[in-house]
Amino acid sequence: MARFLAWRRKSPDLEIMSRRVFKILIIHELFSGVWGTIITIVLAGLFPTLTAIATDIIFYPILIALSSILIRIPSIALFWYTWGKIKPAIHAVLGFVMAISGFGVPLGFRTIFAQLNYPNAFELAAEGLKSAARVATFYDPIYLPLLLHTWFGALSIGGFIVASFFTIKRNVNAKFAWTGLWHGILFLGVQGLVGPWYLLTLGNYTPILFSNVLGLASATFNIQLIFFAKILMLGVLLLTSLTLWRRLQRGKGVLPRYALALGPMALLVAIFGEFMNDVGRYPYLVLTVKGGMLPSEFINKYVTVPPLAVGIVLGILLLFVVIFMGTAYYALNRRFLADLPSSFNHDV
Amino acid sequence: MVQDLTSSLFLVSALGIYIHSFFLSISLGFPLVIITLLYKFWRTEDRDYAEAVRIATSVLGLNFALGAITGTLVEFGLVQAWPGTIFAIATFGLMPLTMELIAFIGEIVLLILFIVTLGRVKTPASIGIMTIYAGMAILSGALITLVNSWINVPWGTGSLPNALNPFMPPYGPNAVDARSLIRLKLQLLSQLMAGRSAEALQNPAIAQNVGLTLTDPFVAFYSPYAWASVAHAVTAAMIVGISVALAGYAYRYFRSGNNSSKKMIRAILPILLFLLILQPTVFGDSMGKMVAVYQPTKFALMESAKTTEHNPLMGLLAFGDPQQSIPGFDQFRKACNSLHGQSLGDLTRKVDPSANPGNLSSASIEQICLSNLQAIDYKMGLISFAYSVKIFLGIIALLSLCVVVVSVFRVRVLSGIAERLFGSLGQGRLVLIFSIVELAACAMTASLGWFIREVGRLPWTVYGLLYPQELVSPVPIDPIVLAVFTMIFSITGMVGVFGMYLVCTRRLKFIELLARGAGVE
Repeated sequence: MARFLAWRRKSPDLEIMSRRVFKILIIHELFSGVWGTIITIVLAGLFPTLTAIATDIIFYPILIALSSILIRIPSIALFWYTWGKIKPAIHAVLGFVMAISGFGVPLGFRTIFAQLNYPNAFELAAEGLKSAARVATFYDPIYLPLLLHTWFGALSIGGFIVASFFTIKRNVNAKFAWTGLWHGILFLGVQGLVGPWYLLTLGNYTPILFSNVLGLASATFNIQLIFFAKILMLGVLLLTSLTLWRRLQRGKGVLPRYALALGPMALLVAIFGEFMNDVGRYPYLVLTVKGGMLPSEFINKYVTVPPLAVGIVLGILLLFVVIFMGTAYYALNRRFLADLPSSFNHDV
Repeated sequence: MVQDLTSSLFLVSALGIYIHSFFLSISLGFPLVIITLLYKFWRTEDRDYAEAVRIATSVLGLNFALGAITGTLVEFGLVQAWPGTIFAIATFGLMPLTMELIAFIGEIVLLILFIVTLGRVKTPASIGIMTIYAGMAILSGALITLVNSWINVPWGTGSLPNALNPFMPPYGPNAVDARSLIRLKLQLLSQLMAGRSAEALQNPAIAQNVGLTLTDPFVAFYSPYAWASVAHAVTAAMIVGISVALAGYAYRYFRSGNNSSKKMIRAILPILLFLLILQPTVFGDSMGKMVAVYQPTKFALMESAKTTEHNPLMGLLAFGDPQQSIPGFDQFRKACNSLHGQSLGDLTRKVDPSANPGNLSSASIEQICLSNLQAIDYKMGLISFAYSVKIFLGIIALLSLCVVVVSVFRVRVLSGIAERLFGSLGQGRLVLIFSIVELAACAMTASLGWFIREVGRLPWTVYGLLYPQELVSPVPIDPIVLAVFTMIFSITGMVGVFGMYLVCTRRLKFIELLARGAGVE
């Protein structure tokens, strides 16, 4: 969008911002690409039965997600390498292709989570109606609110991350931070509608998850505290961002240091939300209206996985995540952006 | 219908693997190039080497992104298109693939660390980071090859494949519960005709019934075939990757004629020459011996052995014994005939008295064994031809590289001969032509090698045990959907290669680009 507006408004500043923000995306896309493989192996290795079901019943959604990934990666590369070499209009279109393909990934993968919460397609498949089941994944009542919750959540986080990014020392830019901020607030506002809709849908179709989240009497695993912690963080995030909104005055004010906390806070809210979605099913892996299916029904029964080996692998993976976070911070803050001016000189 | 889908998915999977393997080769070859150039920079402080490292690193970075994504898609595509392979991933492949995750994530973290710290830390430190990265890349490639090797030679299944196909040798220690494996096989076979074999894995009750199949999750590591494959495949990929760099520098040398590109060529040539000699003579030889012992049908296809042949040279090369004959299809048929009168029911009941093969009970094992041979017999011409071409191209690659070496370095007599034969081309053109021939020959040799590995394993996916039809997706995939997906995948590959070309050939002029991008200029 920034790149598109840069072209329409002939604003080099927006161009610079777009390019800087794009570098965050490149680094994280690389890292998240690796996790795609990790998830595949973990799921197929630990839950082969569930993975086998997913590759059949959720075949088309997964194909959509894979195709989106396929479009996304070359479009990222093209967007980067054609910058300034093709007409700005075409470049902006390319940017939109790249951005839209990003939405395609949850469009496919969120059907899996919807099925875990309300397995309408799995139930049809169990009755032998495989063809109908493969289409029914898209009509899961949980799917649409979950998908929108994910999309707007990601958009909101993106905005807040940008705001935080331009608050980092030696990278301060109030105007750019403000652009990120209004995006964050706008989509957070939309989340104010989508979030409760998702929660109410859970209440209608997934009573166990709903009870667990709100700590009702019928809860199988009370995670009420996490829910309230999330709401509290959301409140703080909203308050902080609105305060900042007033102080920044459309990017002309002074950028306070606490703006740095916006991105991590937004991320934390999302992590808590995701955590609730998954842990809220406990002790089940797949929920039904009255109960659910335990992980033990799907877990790998063909081999005894050595716990020590799993522990070692997990430990090393976490170590690498820590190294990555340190390196990414160093890359974005100290090194990768060194080649760009903080403001644009028209005479160059 | 099942056969059509299987054939289509074969092609899509093969395309995916080949596209991925291109990026994989660069991931394995470029680290060696970068380490060499960094070492040269450290010793000479020549800035040309530093600039070359910078460009090579950019290519490696872009390549890694494409390699990681195509790899993820190949892996996910594998379980999507061939969900039956989930069983292999969840058993024999579990530990190698779990360890591969460490290597894979280590690769990306170390690559980013290298890029970020390049020029900011001392050169030996950069060499150290890149060396660990290279180690991780090799480990990743090795572990993936290890899993693929298990599919080729199902180590740990003991004499089970031999019971069905008596011409096969036993595959290592018996680390499986034969009863479990038989139960699974019967489940797969019962739905084979309907094309819904893989659905068996979706049923928790069947999984419960099959139960603990593998007693040693590390057994894939003990396979001698696997380690020969690892050495063979990883060095082949390295050679292709380094050859890409060589062709790139040769192109630049031809276009500019400057000494800088020639320096890079001189720096990487010795490693490439060493690997190109080592690979076929040591690793290739060892691989050939393993195929001869553990994949008798593939070896016979490669050697066009319709009937058992006595060839002292081949006997010596393949088995270390000139007296040893090359077993042909006649011998395999005889082995099948030894099962005369035995039914599948007899065999399964021998292993598990409670097993119920249903209407397959009366199926003759002899006929199954013979039909396996019949299914691959007609591929003999193709495999044998591919193998001969592979050997020929390997020789071409080595000879081409030798021409490049003697034209860049002064080698007594040989340089003079090369000068007399090709001197009229001029050094730049000569180096370019032979570097490209070497790259093309290496890439085709490696591709044909993989082709023989995969097609030569047929009619099984897991050699001697499981057929592709038992593993293929039960989803009736629309050919248009498959075509669109294939097209997207192909475009990914092409765009990736074009992107790397841009990285190598064009400098990024940020300010100018920004100005033009914003419409200021």
